[in-house]
Amino acid sequence: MVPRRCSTAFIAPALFVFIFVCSACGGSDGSGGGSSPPADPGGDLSPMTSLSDADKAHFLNRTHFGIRPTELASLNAMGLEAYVDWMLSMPVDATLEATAKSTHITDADYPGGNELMYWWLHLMFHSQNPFQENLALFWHDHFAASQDALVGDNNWWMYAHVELWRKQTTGKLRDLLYKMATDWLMLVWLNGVESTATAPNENFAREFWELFTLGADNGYSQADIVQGARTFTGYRSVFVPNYFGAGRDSRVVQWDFSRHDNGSKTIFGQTLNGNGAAEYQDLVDLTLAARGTQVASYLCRKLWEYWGYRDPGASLVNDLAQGFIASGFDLKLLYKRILMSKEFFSARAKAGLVKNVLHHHVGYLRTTRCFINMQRIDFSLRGCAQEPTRPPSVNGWPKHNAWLSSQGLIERANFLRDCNFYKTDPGQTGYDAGSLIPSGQTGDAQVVDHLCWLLNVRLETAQRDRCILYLNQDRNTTSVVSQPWDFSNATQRDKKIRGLLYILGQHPTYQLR
Amino acid sequence: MTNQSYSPARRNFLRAGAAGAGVVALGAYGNRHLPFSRPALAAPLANHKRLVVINLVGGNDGLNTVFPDSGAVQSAYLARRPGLAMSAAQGLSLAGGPGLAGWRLHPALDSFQAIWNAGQLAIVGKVGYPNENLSHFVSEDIWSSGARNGVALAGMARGWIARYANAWAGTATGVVSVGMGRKLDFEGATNYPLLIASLAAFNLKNDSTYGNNHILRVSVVQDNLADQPAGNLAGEIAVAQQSAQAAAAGVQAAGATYTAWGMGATYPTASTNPFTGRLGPSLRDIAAMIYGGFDTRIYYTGLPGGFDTHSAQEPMHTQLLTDLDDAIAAFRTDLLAMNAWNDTVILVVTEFGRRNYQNGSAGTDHGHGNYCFVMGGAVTGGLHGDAITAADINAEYLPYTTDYRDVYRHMLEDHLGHSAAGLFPESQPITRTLSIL
Repeated sequence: MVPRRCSTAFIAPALFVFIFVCSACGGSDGSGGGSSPPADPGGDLSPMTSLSDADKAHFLNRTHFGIRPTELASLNAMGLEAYVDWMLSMPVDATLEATAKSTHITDADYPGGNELMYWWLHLMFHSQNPFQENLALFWHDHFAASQDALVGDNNWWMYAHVELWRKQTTGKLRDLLYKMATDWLMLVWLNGVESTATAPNENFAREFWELFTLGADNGYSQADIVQGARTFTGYRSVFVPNYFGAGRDSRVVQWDFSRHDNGSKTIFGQTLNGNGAAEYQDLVDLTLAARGTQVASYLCRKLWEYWGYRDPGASLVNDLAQGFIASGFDLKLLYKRILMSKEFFSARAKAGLVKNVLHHHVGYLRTTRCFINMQRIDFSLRGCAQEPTRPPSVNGWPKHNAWLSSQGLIERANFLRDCNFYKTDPGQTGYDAGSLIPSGQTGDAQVVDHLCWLLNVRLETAQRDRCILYLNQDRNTTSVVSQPWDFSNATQRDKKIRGLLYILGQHPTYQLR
Repeated sequence: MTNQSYSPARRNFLRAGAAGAGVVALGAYGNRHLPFSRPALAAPLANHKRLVVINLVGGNDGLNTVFPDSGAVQSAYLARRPGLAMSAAQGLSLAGGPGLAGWRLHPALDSFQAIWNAGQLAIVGKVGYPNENLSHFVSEDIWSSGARNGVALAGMARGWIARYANAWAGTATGVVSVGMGRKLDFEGATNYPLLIASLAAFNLKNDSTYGNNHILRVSVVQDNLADQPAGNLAGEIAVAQQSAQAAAAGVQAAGATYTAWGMGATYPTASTNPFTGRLGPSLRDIAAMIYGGFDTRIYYTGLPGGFDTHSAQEPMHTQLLTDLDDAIAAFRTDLLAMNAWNDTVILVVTEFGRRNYQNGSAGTDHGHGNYCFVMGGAVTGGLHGDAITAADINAEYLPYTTDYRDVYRHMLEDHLGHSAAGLFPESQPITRTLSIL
């Protein structure tokens, strides 16, 4: 089978997906509509000067995967701006990167599809700068391409593809767009390597504007797509025997001028002269020059919806976009402006965004450190329809409330159950859920309150009382019995704190970030 | 901390094993929750028309599925496929029904032949869409969206089933997909259609590691959900979670009801052959939901891959068609036994046909036009649309003379009884009125 662009590729007869996206209902909104956005309230983009405890929790939940006390300590020590600067500096953790590969990839020349996923998940689980992975997921979703377009002997192309999102998204947009357009996986995924002067393929040209830069029907025509498809011609995928030596074959993408349509094109009413391979950059630059406002607005809105809130007002988007344009489309400055803005810390932003499955699963594992075998985690991610490196289509994953499908919610509950059920997995050797509780805060109410803080769960009074009561009870085969909370009893402590994690992880507010 | 005894809080929605099913229906703050509750039915809803779509993903080779056994058409066919053509002796006769006397069915399709001979199988010839595209992606998008450019449906849901559901089947289980993942066909439905891998997988798992304490945990979770105040996103999510648990319970109950019935057919299940036993479990789940009295109008399932037979087409194609035929045979047996065959129409689709001539790898490459198969108690059997000619086969690709959207329209309007007006908004160069139903 060739890879599918739409629908999930069925690789194993296992649990599959249950959720769908509603892109027809207003941009990236997955809800199916139902509410009208409020009147444009604008938004204060000036930087925050000091943070409350609630602000800090909000910041970490949105930009990281859940909360770890060490991350809060760093934020406290550095202050917001220095911490944001540090996050955006993307420090390389060479030890972790090496460990992630050596742990999960058997043959670096021929990584398995699942191995590639495990490699990236390992980085998400253990990164000291989880923002790096949080940001990479945004771009992986935005420029969505699946490893299912690879055929085995070229699986290693996925390294560079993932590293593009992990390491090269803090520069100028023009550079990122060029790297994306010439990324080998992307060239295969959207038929670029099959697109030739005699038979140009419109797939990439269409998505370049429709999904990647402008938005559907926003400033381009079918005639532009036809001309753009002529521009995006000339690369080919070539089988190379013995590429790795020792008879180990592979394939590479090569530029082949004879396949390129080097005639002049008219796009957005402007002439693009034949320029060989450099036309890829020329068309990126023409798009930014001729449609800069649309590109900036489209991306600023999408980034804001990823970190801030849904349906931002036009004036807020416009304010961000103008700054983005003025900076020469500098992505790092844009991220910093968003994440330090007063509006990012506003009540509206704090009202909550629905976690996608990776935010949910990775966050739960990072916070609780209750690791189970990678295969089980992957099985659950597949069941919940969000395996990294395997987006379902070029349109990326569902957004927002579309994650709240019936089977998806059941799967989330089952994942929390799995983390307790498989307590003998190697990742939990020596694990003590009691280690999540700071010394001196081991009373029943203190334990509930601390875990709520850690998981960013907000309990109603009756719910809090019920959770405290849970710590003071157990159940035999027929009924609930009293069993006063005793933190010093290691068995009881581990059982009940695990139980509390299961309970709090299914609280509606834990589905939010 | 007092040691009061545990008293379960309100749990009206969630009694374990409750027969009522409700499925998530959550919109942006606006509460689009569409709960439904009904008694557990040990019978299909009476007089409830339903459509079951079976998608053969990858592009089934129609020309080897229904092939000519005589005359100039056969000569052209044999010449085009010297190593791949089916001989007349291999095929199953179609003389028992109107329109295809000189044609035969692939030998794996004996149940198709039986349904044909009963006058309840319609074979629609030369179905396709304008400006054919050889990309699986594009072609699947087109079939799934019901539009030539699947992305160009401004203001509408992208999927054709989603648009139908929004107009006519907006209940929580109005449209259901089994075993096919997240299909574009459902994209944009406002009622969060039930898209499940299988009945068995849609189930809240027990935790035997913690046994009785886990039961206590589940109680606390459910009581917390019941206590969650409405009026904000968290409140909406709590409703969604409760509905999901009720839906899972309802689906499990349907499965149990079907099993208890004890009359269910024997479906093909997975074996050592990688291409068998894939469709049967999904159709069995659909039979269970029909027997459980679900109000579903469209069930969607299929064989998720395998039909892209670029090389060594045989015996793979035979295995795939065997799986299709055996699964449908069992499904039909079930529907007849539960008296639902006359209210059910099965529509078999695939994203495109294959090339008329075989390639150098004993396979066939992507093509254009193809057959659709329609069966059910209410179906008028025989050839519908146009027969394939020798000239068609001598060309590179089979042409299309029936637009696939007219097949969809016919199902919605003349079987389900709902207007398809506006659901397929693009103009069509070819239109055809079908009379299968």
